[in-house]
Order: sequence, then structure tokens, then C-alpha cells
Amino acid sequence: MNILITDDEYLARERLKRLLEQTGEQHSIFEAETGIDAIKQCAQHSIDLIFLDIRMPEMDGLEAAWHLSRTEAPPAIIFITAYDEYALQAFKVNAIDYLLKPVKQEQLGAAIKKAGKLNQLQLAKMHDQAPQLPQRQHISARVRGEVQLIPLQDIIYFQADQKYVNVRHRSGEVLIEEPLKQLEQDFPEQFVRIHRNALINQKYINGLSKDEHGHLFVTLKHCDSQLEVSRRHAAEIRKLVKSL
Amino acid sequence: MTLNNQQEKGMIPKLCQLPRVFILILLSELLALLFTLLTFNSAESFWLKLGLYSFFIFWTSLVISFLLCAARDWLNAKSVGISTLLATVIVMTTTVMSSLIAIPLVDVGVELDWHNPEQQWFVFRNLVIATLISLAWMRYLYLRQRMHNSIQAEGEAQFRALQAKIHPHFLFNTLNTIASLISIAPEKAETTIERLAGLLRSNLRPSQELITLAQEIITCKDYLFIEQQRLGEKLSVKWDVEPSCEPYLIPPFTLQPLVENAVYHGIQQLHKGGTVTISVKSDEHSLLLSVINPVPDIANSRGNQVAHDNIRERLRIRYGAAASMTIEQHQQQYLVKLIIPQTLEQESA
Repeated sequence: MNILITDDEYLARERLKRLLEQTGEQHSIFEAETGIDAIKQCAQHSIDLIFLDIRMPEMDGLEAAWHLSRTEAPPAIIFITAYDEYALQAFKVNAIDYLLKPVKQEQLGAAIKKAGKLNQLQLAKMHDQAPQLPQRQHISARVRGEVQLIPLQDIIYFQADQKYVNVRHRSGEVLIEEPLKQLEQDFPEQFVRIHRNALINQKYINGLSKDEHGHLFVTLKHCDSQLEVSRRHAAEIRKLVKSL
Repeated sequence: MTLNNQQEKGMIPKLCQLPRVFILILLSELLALLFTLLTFNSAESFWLKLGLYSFFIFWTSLVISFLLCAARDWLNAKSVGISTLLATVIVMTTTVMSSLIAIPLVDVGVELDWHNPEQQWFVFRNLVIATLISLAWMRYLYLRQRMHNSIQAEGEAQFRALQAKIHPHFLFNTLNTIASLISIAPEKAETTIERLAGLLRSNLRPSQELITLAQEIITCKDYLFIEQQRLGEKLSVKWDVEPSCEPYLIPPFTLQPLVENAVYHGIQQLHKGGTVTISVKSDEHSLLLSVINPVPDIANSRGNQVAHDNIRERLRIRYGAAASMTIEQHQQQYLVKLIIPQTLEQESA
């Protein structure tokens, strides 16, 4: 099996690696320091099993699992944590197991056996059960088979375009399949609806302008395009711009 | 009437339990004896009078306790005032009823007569006595209930304060670090265990006792050594302590939780890590302590709050307005400042 160990702490990775070697089975072991790094490596090395620490900087284990569940061939997930956390309860459904630090050899062995017995169908079903994660800090998009992660704070706006949603961010554009409605629900604090087809990040709002037909537009920082504000949302947006 | 205190909630106790019924009988008998002594004159038979009083008081109090027992849940759901009032009404009604029943029983052949002043007086007197006893008893129950509540709250607060000191996350992460170090660097594993022991030992110190700043700094260094093993180069620490401050006394775990927060919510959340700066200075009357650390963009200050509130509360109790704690956040810098009045060993003793 291709196994990826994800933990920001060197000593924690070392210990898990040693325990894995002691199981006596031959595995290729890879290491990642953050959730973002882990998602990249999963695609590169066709990882079968990933050990995910919960608390990590930049992207925690739960968010990494959420994004992984939406990739083409997600690996089996085993969460690792120092202490039983409330947040973990909901996520047990899309993981094979979760282990507590310091990990015990027998429990590790049992978890790996469980992972080995899993077929593709069972694995896919497990990942389908992943709960929504409103507190996630990244949007993931698939670009030519690779996962691209965009930090929420870099996103200027989301604009629906038929089947897809166009994500405009600080360094480009990308298409995702998540519906606008879900995005609006998940990030109510940062993003605001200005039109049936557009959500904008409040912190990039520059000002308002009107064209010769009397249509209202939002101008944005770090972005040349202007987005139309629908009549329904006009009053609300005016109020918001005033308060900024 | 303090049996099974812990399991009971509400002001009115469970009066139908056997030990309580026994106590009730005893108290009724004492009351009967008291009344007999007060009203006895040598022309009457002492024992007959005692017997009659006992019988009357007994029966009245048994009926009352049965009624209160039956209505207990209902009464305890009400506010203190309402349940006192209702319980007293139960006592008064029962007393009047049993007085009316008693008249024809005691003086055989006498019939109830509303206009008989002797009978009126009998009923009225019993009613007043029962009401007074009932009110005194309710007052006692109320005080007992309040004392019970405050003892419980105090115990809980102390327990929370103690629990706040060692975080399970920290403990298990440390054990994991040690498990890893044992095979890679046994000496480091050994030192880490020594430092952990030091930290646990300071945790067991009575929380009311003051310690010197020097001692608190040792606790901080034990903690930081352990985290250094886990976080490696990510964590760097800068100490800036005026040596003249070290003998001053402060409450234990004043500085350490701030340092722990700086690591937990600051350094650990940053991929590249950073530096925690701890400084202690003094002016004329106070010690000025500060902890500065970098934090990520999206700072999660919820966890910080618990430790801060804890420290603030402890400083307030001990020093009142003389001590203060301020928190500032400038973009990616987090700064906590404490001002604590200077105390030396002799002064506190």
C-alpha cells in the first residue's frame, strides 16, 4: 500500500513511521506536513491510505478530509488526534478509524487491516457520507486532474455560469462544481449575494457605480471587472457599502 | 433532616422517608412536652395532658408531611416565595381541620359550636402556632438549600480552576513526543520527562499560595522546553526579564497560561512558526509582564478566552483594581499585558 503520514510535528511522523515499519508489511511511506501538502501528494503518489492529524496549521485534518472526499480516487482515511475532540464525532463516518496519540501498535495494525479489506465501492460510499464543513478555509477545484486549493481570503467573487461556478481569486480564475447556494450558506460572514448569479467577498468591495441605463454595479479591489447588482439586492448592498 | 442531601434538589425535602418520619415523631413529641409544661397546672393530670397533646400534634404533623410529600415535586418546581406560601397554606388548612376534628373527640359530648369562644380560641391558637412553626421551618429549609447550592458552586469553580491548568491535548502530545524520542534521542526523552514532572508538580501546588516570579519563570521554561521538542525550530523564545523583578511574588500560573496560549493559538497555527517574546519589567509599585506572539490571519480566539478570564478573575480577587490585564491585537501580532502590584515575601507573611 502507498501510505501517507500527515502531521505537522516531525517526532509524531517519525513515531508513526517506525510503528508502520514494525508491522512487518511492506508499504511505501510518504510524509506531509500540512493538509494542503497532503492533498497534493495524494494525487501525485496515488495514496491508498492516509493518516491525518487533526490539528495542523493552514489546513486542519478535517478540512483536508473534506477536500479529499471530493477527489476522483480518494484514499482511505484514518484520523489521528491527541485528545478526543467533539468535531471528530461527525467525521467518523468518512474515516475507517481514528487513533489517539500516542498510537498503540495493536490498534494501528487493526486499522491497517481494516483499510486493506476495503474495496473501491465501500470506500466511495464512505466518502459520500462526508458531512458538510462550513468552517473550511479553502475552496478546491480540479484543474487538469490536479487539485487546486484556493484560500477563502484570496477569493474575490463567485459567479455562476450555467453548470459551473467561476471562482475569481487574487491570482486567476477557476471553475468549480459546487452550487452558489451551498457556498452562500457555508460562508455567510465573508460573502454577500449581489445577484442571482454572484456572491462577492465583502473585503474586496471597492465601491458602487451606475451606468447610463441606471444599472448598479460593484467595483472590486484587485480586479478590473464590475459586477451587476440586481434590483432585489440593491438596497442591502448600498447599506453594506456605507457601513464599510 | 439532612439525609441524602446530595441527591435531593429543591427546598422541600422528601418527608416520607422512614428516618425522616422517625425524626418527625421525635420533634412532635418534644413539642407536645413543651406545650404540656407551659400550660400544666397542678390540678390536672400531667400524663393525660401530654397524651392528648402528643396525639393531636402527631396526627397533624403526619398529615402535613404526607401532603407535603405528595405535593413535593409540584412545590419544588415553583419559586421559593410561592412554594413557601403554598406549603404554609397546607400547614394552616391541615391544622384548622384537625383542630375541628379534635374538639368533639377530646371533650366527649361537646359539639362543634362556631360561637363558643373557647372553641374559637382553641382553633385560633393552634392556627397561629402552626403558622409560626411552619414559617420558621421554611426559613430553615431555605437557608439549608442556599448553603447547599453555594457549596456546590464553590466546589465546581475550584474544580474548573484546577482542570484549566493542564490541557489534555498538551499532556497527550507530550506523551507522544516522549514515545517518539525514546528510540531516537533517549537523553532528550529523559529530560522531557523531568520537565513534565516539574510542570505537574507546580500544578499540584495549592493555588492560593503566592510564588516568586523566578519560580513562575521556571514553570514557563519547563513548559517551553517540552513544546520545543515537539515543535522544533518552529518555536523560538525571547526572554527579557529584569533580574531585580525575580524575588517579587505573584499568583502561580499567571504567566504560564499566557505563554501556553501564545504557543497553542499562535506559533503552532503558523506553518513557519515564530518567536514568543516574554518580558518582565517594574516601575515604582508594579510588575509589568507582557507576552507577544504572532498569530495567523484567521485568529481563533475562543480558546484564548478561557485562560484569560481565569487569570483576570484570579487577579481581581487578590488585588482588586490594583492589577490589570490588557489584550491587543495588531494585524498578526498578539500582545497580552499584565500589571501586578509588587509584593515581597515578608509583606505577604
